[in-house]
Amino acid sequence: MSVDDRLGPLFAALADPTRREMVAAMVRDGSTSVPALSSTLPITRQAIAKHLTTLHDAGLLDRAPSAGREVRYSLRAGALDPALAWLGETDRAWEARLVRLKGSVERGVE
Amino acid sequence: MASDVKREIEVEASPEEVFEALVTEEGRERWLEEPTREIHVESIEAPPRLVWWWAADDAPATRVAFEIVAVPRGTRVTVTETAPSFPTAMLVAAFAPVFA
Repeated sequence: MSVDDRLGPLFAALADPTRREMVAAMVRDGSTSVPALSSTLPITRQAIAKHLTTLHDAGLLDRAPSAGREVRYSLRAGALDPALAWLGETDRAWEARLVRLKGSVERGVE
Repeated sequence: MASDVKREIEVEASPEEVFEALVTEEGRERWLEEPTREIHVESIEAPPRLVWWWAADDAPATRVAFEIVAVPRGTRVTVTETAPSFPTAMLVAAFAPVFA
């Protein structure tokens, strides 16, 4: 899958403040679960499960069953790589475009 | 880490000439080399500011803002492209422990 294919779901998943709060909880605690999140977030367990599915589908989470059948969610290392790649590619692209813009305008002025 | 990409260059021409190369399709064709991207110009305040939105293929649309300012030797152009609808800085900060 190309970087561009992954960008849409990744950015969309992280555009939501509730989901960002969940990500922050996983950073803080290492992993989390629906019961753990439902004690801190003012939304239903169903809503929490849905948000976690969105984050998982965007490639941001790993999930693993733990003792007591509870599913634990944690952040997947490297999940942000597509976003970092976008920043690098965009920076290099503008560096080259501005050089061409300068050449084009200065040629027109002569 | 920044939440967007920022680049600048100085051009030996007037701000109006630079603006023309950014705002018109004919002008852009001479340097942009992005024939597949559709550009939607959001705001034109003449120099010094121009904002457009564009997208490549199925990627999310991004915002591109230009600042076109006269300097002693011509014009300084600053371009800022904002990462698609998410606060990169916050995210990178959030993921920092994962990368550490």
